[in-house]
Amino acid sequence: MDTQIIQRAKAGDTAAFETLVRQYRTRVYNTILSLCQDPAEAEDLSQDTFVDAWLHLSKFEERSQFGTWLYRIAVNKALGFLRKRKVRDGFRRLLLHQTKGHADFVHPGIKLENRETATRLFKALDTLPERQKTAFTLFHLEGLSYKEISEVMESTEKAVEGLLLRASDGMRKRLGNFYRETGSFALPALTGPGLPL
Amino acid sequence: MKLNKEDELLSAAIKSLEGIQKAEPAEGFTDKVMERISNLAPVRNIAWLSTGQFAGIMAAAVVIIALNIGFAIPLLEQMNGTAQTDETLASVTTTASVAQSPTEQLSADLFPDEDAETAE
Repeated sequence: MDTQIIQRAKAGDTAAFETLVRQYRTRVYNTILSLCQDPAEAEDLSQDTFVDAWLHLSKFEERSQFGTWLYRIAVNKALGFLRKRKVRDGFRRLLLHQTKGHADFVHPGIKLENRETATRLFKALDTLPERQKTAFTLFHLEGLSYKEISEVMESTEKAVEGLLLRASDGMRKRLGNFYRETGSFALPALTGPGLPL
Repeated sequence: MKLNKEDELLSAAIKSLEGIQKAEPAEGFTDKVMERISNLAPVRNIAWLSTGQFAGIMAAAVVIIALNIGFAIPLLEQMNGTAQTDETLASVTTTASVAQSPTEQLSADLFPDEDAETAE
């Protein structure tokens, strides 16, 4: 199904490409949103992702899934944006002495009762090194397998496993710090089988 | 104990993601993407040219530029030559007129009363 549509899109069929946009827009948007934590920027970067995909469609050799290839473009867009924002924020702090950080990100898809905890999670996630952050997002938020993540990140499954372990360690420390700073943490009742850490 | 608490916090944080609904981009997202793509279409066609086609177009462009230069140089030289001739003539005229003035002056100095005598 996808292969035929991709072939048509590669031949310049914009209607076929539109089908691909409709099919993948939610996944692309959510990945970028989780990484950059800014809905307006995520919207623009998602558009850029599809425009880039259209421009470079001839380079897609179909060795991986089209979705994986799109994820790769989306992740690169999001990380590029984060790097620019980091530099911009650094200048603001240096030149304008602005110490105010970004507003807490509330993912629109989180259940109401989990919002406070999830907000802390996203805050902690935002401070992780970018590769750990990417691996954590793709695994826990997008539900990708180690293999898929390794293809998106152009790495090995072993390396992804290592990244996820380090990301979990980092998250533990950061969440612990939040707990110690505030003295409280909204914990939902932990029931059921052990969660993957 | 501390590690257990941190584990618990991480478990809780990950658990809070359970049942997360996928966020949807704003309405008209696909239309905006397709509009941007339709505006980019000519650029994409150029990007699709094979190396041979691209080389051919570049070679044709070089020939056209060379021909233009080939026509332009003699024309420029011709224009430049005309301008130089005019300038030389002007220069000679000026020199001549400047050279005449001292002669007249000398003549007047040598024969100051000649004109007056003639007049008388």
